[in-house]
Amino acid sequence: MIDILTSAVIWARTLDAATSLLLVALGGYLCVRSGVLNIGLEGTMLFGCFAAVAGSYWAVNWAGGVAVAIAVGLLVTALLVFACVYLNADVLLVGLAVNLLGLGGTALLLQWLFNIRGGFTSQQVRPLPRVTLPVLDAVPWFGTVISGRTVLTYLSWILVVLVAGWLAHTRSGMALRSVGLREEIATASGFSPRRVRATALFIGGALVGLGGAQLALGDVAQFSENMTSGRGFVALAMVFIAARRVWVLLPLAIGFAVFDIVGLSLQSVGLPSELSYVLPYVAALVILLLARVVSTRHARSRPSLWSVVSSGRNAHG
Amino acid sequence: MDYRSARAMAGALLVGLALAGAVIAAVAGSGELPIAGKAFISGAFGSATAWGATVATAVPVLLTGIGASIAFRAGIFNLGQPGMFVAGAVAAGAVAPAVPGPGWLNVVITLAASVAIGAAWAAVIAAGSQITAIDVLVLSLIMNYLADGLATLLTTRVFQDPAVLGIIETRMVPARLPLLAQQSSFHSGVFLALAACVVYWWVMNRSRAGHRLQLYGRNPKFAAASGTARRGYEMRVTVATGSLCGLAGGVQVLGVFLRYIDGSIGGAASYAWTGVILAILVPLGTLLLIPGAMFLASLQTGLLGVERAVGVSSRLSLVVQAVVMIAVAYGRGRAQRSSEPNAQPDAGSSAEQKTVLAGGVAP
Repeated sequence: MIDILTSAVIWARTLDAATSLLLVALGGYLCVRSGVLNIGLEGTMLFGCFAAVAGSYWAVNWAGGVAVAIAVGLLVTALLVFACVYLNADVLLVGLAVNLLGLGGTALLLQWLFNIRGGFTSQQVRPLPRVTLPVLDAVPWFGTVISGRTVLTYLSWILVVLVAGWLAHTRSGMALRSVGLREEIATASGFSPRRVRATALFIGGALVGLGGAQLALGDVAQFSENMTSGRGFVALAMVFIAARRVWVLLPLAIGFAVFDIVGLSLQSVGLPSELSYVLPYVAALVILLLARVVSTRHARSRPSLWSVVSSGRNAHG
Repeated sequence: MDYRSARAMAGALLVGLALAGAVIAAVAGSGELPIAGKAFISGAFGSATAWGATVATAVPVLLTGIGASIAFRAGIFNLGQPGMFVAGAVAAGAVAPAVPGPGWLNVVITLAASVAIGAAWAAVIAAGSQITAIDVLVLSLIMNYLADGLATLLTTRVFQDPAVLGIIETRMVPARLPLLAQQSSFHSGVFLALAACVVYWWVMNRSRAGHRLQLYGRNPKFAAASGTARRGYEMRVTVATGSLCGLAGGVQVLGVFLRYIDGSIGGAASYAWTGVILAILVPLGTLLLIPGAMFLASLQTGLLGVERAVGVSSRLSLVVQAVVMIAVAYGRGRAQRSSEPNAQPDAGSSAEQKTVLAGGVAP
């Protein structure tokens, strides 16, 4: 067990596995901060996975896959934006529908475009390239962990900083936060809540598409039905744990990913391999519980993120 | 159901049907459309076997749908029904082979175990949400995956049928729910589902408990002021949901599969999700649940017929359901907008948006 946790390879794989969670959570974070509880993350991510594999296959190029994944993420989000922001349809209903659509739609697209059921892979599907960092690579244990990760892993770390900076220090970031918090104030300061929300959702959708691309092309480049297996929902839980500190998503993503990766290596130490079906979700629940304990200790005077999106719902029932 | 929502529903069905046709034409070729149409009808209603399959599919959909309906009516957006369904099914698969006694007693004990485990799983969700203060929505979605994982783990390690290799499943149940028609899966669990439906209707429309549930759903603060403590009440409602979903799992094992087979009950295409959709689509508290469940079940069995005939994956039913849900959500959003004519185009949309959020699940 200790061997597993000190192995550089395990931590290296953990960082790669954390990336897809991190990107999706970052996308979900923008939606929630603008006041839209997007439970369609799971379905959008699955579409992103499929698009990445299909794009990579057609272009015979990883960048093609990433581009198509982003495009499809935007397309699925367009449905959500159109229905929920402009036509006032219920976000929860449309989000659920997007999840169903992701599962059914990717299965049918697989059959239609590749004439195959269940899963798809090919020599032509190019995985994401791995980047060797110049100096760090030489450091013994640390180098193996940090260097040689996928392009999107490094990009996701930069994106966390960018999103945090955007939300905290720019006018449009403030507009986004204020629309999520108190729409009247945003309107009074001259922002259009609809436009702000649409922007937040679209950027979020692109990030979720990227997350799908990392999941599908990051390790073994392949698509299989329902390959996201709840990562979209775990990402949503991460958003609420992170609350107002977007950077917390990075350690959280790594924390969740550890259980994913360690679960897969348990067999080597004689524990039941089926634990890997259980561990990531148990971890999610335990971390939710811990986050609760920590947050009650530092009782906050400001309203929690959850109350922002749910106040209307609970008050009305 | 009023005129407008009936029209929205009809429009939704037409759009769904057109899309299904387009998908079949794209995947299998447009020449296959008439064959697919015939296969759909015969797959859902074409023979006694087809009717049996449709009714047997409608049973878990109806039971989980009632369960979901209760929660939604109380304003609790719990989506843990698939997990409760799995919990009930695993309990049935584990308990039935271990219990001696005559057949009818075995069935009763097994179903009781399913109800108990389904309720216990629901209680864990409710307690977890109260302790972590994370909304039950996010928590229950994760708990569904946990239920699937635990079911696999327990079945492989504890309840696996030693005579079977390669398939993760429990031992065969000694007694099943009696079949009503031979050569089909038309089993007597349908009476349980219908009875549950009638009791649900009576409770909702004729009893004080139903009145309180609706009062709580409309305004929990008012309900609290009139003596309904929030935590305890939400726990009781969730446990009721879990009991019904657990029963659905037990009925599915004792009526259709005759053992718990890993992956047949849970997963993202679980019948419990169809039940959730039923609860969302049908106005709550009405007996329209029954035709609604039959419709959704016929969509599944009909598209399975299409899959056999022209080879288009029956996952198409998920796409059709998604389209219907989006159309219904759109219809409700529009009704909401037109009922608030004075709302300013942009400014009022916060309150509006949130009302729609609630209105969508509790019309």
